[in-house]
Amino acid sequence: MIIQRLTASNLFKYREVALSGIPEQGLIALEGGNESGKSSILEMIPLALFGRTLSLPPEAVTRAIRWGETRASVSLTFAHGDGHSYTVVRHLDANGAGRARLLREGVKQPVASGAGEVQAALRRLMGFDFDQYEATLHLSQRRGDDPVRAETLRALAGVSTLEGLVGGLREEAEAAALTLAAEREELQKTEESLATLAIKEEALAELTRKRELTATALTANGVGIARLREFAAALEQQVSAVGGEGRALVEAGEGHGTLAAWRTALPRLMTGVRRLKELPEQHGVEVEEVGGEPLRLWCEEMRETLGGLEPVLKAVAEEEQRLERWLATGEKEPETGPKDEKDRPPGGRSATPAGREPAATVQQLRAGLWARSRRLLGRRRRALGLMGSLLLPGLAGAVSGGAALYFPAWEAGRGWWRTIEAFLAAPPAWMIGPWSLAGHSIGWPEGWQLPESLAILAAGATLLVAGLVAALRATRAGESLHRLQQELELLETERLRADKARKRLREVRTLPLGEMLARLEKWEEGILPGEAPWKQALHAWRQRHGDPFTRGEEGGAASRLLAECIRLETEVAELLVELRAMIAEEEPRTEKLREEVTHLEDAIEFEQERRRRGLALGERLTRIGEGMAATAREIRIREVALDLIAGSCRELLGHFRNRVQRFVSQTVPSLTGSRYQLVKLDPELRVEALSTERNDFVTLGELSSGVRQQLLLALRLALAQALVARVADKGQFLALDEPFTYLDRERFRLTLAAMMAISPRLGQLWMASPEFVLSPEMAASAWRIPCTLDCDNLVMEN
Amino acid sequence: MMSSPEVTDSDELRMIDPVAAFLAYSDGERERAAATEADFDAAIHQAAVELVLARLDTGGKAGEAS
Repeated sequence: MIIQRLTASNLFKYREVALSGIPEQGLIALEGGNESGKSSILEMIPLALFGRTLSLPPEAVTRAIRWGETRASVSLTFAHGDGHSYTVVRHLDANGAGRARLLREGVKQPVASGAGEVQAALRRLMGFDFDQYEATLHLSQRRGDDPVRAETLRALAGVSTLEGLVGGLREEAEAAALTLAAEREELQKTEESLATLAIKEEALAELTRKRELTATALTANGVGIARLREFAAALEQQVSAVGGEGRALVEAGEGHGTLAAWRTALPRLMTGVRRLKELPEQHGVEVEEVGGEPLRLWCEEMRETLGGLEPVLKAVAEEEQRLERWLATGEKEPETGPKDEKDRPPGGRSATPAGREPAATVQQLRAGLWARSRRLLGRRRRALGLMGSLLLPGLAGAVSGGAALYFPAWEAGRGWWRTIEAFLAAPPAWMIGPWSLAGHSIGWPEGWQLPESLAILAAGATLLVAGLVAALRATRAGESLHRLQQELELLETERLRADKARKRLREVRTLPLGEMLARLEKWEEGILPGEAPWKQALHAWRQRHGDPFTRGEEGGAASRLLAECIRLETEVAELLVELRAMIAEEEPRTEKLREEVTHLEDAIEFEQERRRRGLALGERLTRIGEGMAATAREIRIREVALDLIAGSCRELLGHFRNRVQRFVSQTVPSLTGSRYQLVKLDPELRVEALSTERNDFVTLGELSSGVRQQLLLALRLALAQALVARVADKGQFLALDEPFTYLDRERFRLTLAAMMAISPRLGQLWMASPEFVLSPEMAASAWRIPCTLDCDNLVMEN
Repeated sequence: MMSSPEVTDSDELRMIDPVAAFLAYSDGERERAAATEADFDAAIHQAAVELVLARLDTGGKAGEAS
């Protein structure tokens, strides 16, 4: 930046300052004696740019206001490398208030307003701050020997960019270290909590196994009790069924069941007893004996007894069926009788003897008799008709023939025809009338001659015989009809008897078994012809089994059945008592097992909760461990970053120092007239110069003031060069406040000339000095600004 | 007699780009450490470099660094 214009009012000793047309290159020489105000002009530059001066502390900047005034202002116009001109204006107030504006040429609107904004905008524009300005661009006579501030050096070396990160990274690392410590503490606590839990991997499995075993035992116990209960109920029910069945059989028919009842009840009883014996196995209950074996044996015995009756019953049934077949109950009566004569009942009786199969049914016999009756009736009628039709003509012929024998024709031997003719021709008088009439009516040929009277007699006799034969046959047919009628009546009588027998047989089967057997045993003779077919079988059965079904018989079937039922019920009742005792014994164990299962479930839940807590603690440990690892990694990253930054900064500073040292070494011979050729800088940029006289490096304190001033100037120039090079501006002003105080006039001139030639970028050189020793070329280009003690109004235009 | 002043190259004093200097240094450190230190953690080193670059808001140069 090159200063183009500087104005001020009420600053320092000046009421007004106005420097315009300031040359962009060359020396601006503020020349004057002590207290002439030349340093004040230089102080106005930082006051305009930074709001402070080099001579006053920041809090006392109001002391720059002219004595007696309360307000002051300064305005600085400068050309920037971006091609624009900027004007910064600051107003100071005695009470500390201040205003500032930054304007760009040609733009009405301020670039920035207010001290803060203006300061920030200028920092961006210039690329350096007050400290850097003070360290490089402004050499004050008061601070010429002051070492360059470390931070300024670092900023110039570019280290501060990196070092600016150090604080943050270090704080982060420290914070992370605290976090790590906290995490480590939390980790320790968590580990202690986990250790306190003392979780054993096998504990839950053991509890679960115990619970399963106990639950299985509980279930088995419950199942066992349920089985016992079901078994007891089934046993009770089955015994009740068996006993009921038996008692029902005993009580039916006043203690005597019918055959059907016995046949029905006996299998039921046996089935009931068998089911009773199967109940323990069905319900999985182990008992020694349910009972019922005597009843079963008795049933077996009774079944054999009843089985022995089968031939009797079969004979009875067959007889009943035989009667039914003979009676043909429900069958349609046939129209014709038996086809063969042998089908007829033998001995004139239609019914068959007992036990023999009838050849024909009663209907068939009846039909046959009716058919024969009808035939005989027809035959009798025909015989009677023939008899009637033959007997009269025969009688007539015989009479007439006999009579004709008395006629002559008959005697003359003319034969019977002639006799008949004669008869007809000359009938007796008692016959003349009817014959004449007949011959006349039929057209009897005239002259017809009758046979001889003998022939007539024979014919009449024949007819008479035939009529008699017919009469005989009619008589015999009548007799046969009478016999058939008798047979029909006998057949009906036998049918009624058979039907009665059949009904009685049927009725007998419905009787109690004992009574039935008694009836069959005493079956009346005459109901059926011959002996009853079951008699022998029944007799044999009686011989073997006695009379078990007789009513009221001691030791009979009913009594034994009742006794066996009572015995069974008693045995089962005792077993039920035992079962209930077993159930009562098992129930407390069920309750105990249930309590144990509940206790184990609680223990499992507690253990699971402990495991959950353990898992949560484990996960927490993992998280903490991961967090610690991450934190440690972050710390390590920052440590490495800090190491890298520190290393980079060392290298940067080293490079910078080397470059500055090289620059200073190049500059110092020019400024010192080659008295000092080699200069070295320590890390803090403290200057040591190689003394040819001593042949060693000497510090600034060991040098003369003039040489020290020259070396520091060389260092300042190097830093200014570095600053300018960093901000990359096209040109830069340099402010030097009496830099050559200890130089003689010649060295002043040479040093100034050398300094002006060192870098074209530091082209605008503001220098305050009591007097200037200039070469003619420099004098021609320099703008001299005279400052005097009594001058408070400095207005100049180049 | 004093020698005549010479024009010095102010560009020599141009400030070295701190980011470039940092990357060059970190690359060198990595190569050196990788060659000598058995327990050198390249990932940590790279993370540190990226952290610094991120803080410098020069993410574009992070790729160059790697």
